[in-house]
Amino acid sequence: MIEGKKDSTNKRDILLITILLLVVGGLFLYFQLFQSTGEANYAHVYYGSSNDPIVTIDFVKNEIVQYSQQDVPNQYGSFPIIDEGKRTITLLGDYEINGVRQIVVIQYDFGLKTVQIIEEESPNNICSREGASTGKPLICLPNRVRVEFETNDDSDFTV
Amino acid sequence: MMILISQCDMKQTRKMILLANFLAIAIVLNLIESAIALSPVPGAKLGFANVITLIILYVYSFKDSTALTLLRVILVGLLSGRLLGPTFYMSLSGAAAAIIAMGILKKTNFFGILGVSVVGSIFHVFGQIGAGIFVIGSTAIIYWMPLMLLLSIPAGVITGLIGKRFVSVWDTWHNKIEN
Amino acid sequence: MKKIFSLGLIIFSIFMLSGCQSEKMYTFNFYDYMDTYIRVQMMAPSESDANKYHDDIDAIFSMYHELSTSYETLDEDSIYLENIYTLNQNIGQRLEIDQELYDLLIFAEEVKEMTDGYFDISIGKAVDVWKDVMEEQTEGFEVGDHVYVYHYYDGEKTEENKILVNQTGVVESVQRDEENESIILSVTLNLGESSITIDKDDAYKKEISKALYDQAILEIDALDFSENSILLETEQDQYYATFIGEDIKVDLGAISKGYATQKVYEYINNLGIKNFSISSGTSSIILGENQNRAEENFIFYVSLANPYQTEILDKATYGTIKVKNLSVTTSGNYEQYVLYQGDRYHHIVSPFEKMPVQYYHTVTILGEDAGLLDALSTALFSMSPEVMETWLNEYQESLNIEIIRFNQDLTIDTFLFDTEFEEH
Repeated sequence: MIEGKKDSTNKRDILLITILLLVVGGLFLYFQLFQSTGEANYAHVYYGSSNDPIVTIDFVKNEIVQYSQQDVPNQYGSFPIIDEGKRTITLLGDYEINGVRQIVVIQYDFGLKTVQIIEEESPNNICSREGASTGKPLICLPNRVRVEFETNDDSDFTV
Repeated sequence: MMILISQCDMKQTRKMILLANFLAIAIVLNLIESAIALSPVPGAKLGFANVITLIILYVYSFKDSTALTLLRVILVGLLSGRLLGPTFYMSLSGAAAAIIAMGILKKTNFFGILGVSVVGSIFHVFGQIGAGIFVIGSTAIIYWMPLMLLLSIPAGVITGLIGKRFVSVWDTWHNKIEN
Repeated sequence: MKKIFSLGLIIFSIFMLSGCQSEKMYTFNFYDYMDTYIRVQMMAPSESDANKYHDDIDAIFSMYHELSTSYETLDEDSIYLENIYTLNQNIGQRLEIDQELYDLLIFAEEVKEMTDGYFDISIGKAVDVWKDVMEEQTEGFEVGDHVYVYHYYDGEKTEENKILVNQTGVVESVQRDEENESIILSVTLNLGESSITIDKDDAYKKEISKALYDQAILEIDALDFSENSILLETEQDQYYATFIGEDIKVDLGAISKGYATQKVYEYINNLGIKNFSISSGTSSIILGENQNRAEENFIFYVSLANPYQTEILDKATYGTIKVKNLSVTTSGNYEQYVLYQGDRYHHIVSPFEKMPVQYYHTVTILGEDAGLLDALSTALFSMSPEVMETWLNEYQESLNIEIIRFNQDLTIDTFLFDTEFEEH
């Protein structure tokens, strides 16, 4: 290797990294600053690659709307299971332990307008580490379960 | 002639053994990273196993690196019992995007190993996000992209520095053995 | 090494910048008071200040909760003398009460006079009748049940296939899932001249039975509120209340939340804090200034919930107002109700009819005193449009209040001064 060439590639590398940092950092800050300050109106719970939610959590009227059943093999019973007392929605995830699919338990709070995945089996339970979200989509990839919020930027309160 | 052929064979075998070792290390790195779960998105990875991909790219060839990386992804999938699952597709897509980007960039000879590594890290994120959109069926995962990109840069720098050190040591060591 | 260090520094500062703020906005959540979720957001110079504010505000809500509840007695070690529950258990008796409860009852009686009796806290027994009806409503569909159909789709769910019905039908048959009996696929209804079959894509709601409705009517007819009165006296520094009437039961549900929230507002105002918001349940809010909208003069965007959502895809809100430094209260029939012959029966009961009346779906009031607004929104909900307009002619200006009402014919009327209201 020629010493001179090494130096110039080194310099270019550093320049590249600095530029990338600035661009990505700027992108990141931009997204952070433009976070919606409005409250969530709905949180839609999806399974698999479907674009129709299975359950919607309605934060305006404080109720749960279920559209359909999850399409699961008979031996698992019927999903989703909605428990309004414990404020949870349970779906059957894709993640299997010894060939048995595992459940994903989602908890909602009408007052705080949050949704949180509280129980699930996935490598190291990373899905339930995301915490309560007021707008950030909750994505549990190994189970193919996701929760997306519908927020209204033009609304600070709804009465 | 005979000596040359046998030297060729030996070189090949030694290369095979070395590659096998590298593969093992890559698999272990991948599994460790899954266990530590550094990534903000459940299921995605920052790509520390890519350090092996990077090293093979510089020390051997693009073809070798591609083959090894693909093997690594498949073997990890088999080992963790989740072949053809969502995380498998994301790993595959991410690794493929990374190695292709790194291969092309290296060919231009414009940047050093550090720059190539960082670009590889960034494309690793793109590849995962792309597959993620298919797997999860929505663009919601793009929400996480800025953060993942931001984290991938230092990750790329670290793997790049490790790779750079390794390559310079390798040059000295490998040439010593060959002679 | 230097490279990594400076890299680390840059990343660190980026993270720090994104979380940077000077004085902080604190959020206090209260779950235990007055059957509702209360959220207070206010600016505080430090964490210890915020903790003090939280405790003081908690004490205010806690006090009014204990005093105004009609469900249980005071705790044994309570510092208060009596609460509404015990007063209701001792009709005709003159009991000594705390000044705060006395003030609240005086206020409620003043509003009763101001609204010519349309606001009346003594009709608790009528409210209970309809509360019981709401609880009797069962789930599921059986042959013979009544179902009100808003509209249905003849075939695929498209705008062209939408057919308006707005009628009550009787269930003729129920089609269930073969493997799972509890899953109902569709229901066939007899609408008189015709029959239709509806499924989950259509807009409908089960009604209460005629038997249940008739029973409720019998019960309210048996109630006589003509003798109801609340006697409030004060001697030296003591306060007394006597509840009089055969069918009197005092229910402060339509005023205690707003009243307590107003007291909390006064506390925050005395601290001189401008950036705050208090929301009690989904119906009553008091707003200061919104620090997030500096470029728009610190206003809040407040959306008004659409009470006539027959389908989840319908708009969630029907309009937005831009406001600050005031109180907004909404009374509505859409959160909890049962249907009978297409009409909604809920907890806002007219003191004259002893049942919910069918003029509006929501009445939203903007003004300065949350306690007053809470009571007024209940009172106005039971007034016919003519009565309301006459009343507003007399009081709107002097009370400085503004009204937006969503009528049952789905039109919207506004009585605004200079507040901006935008329909969606």
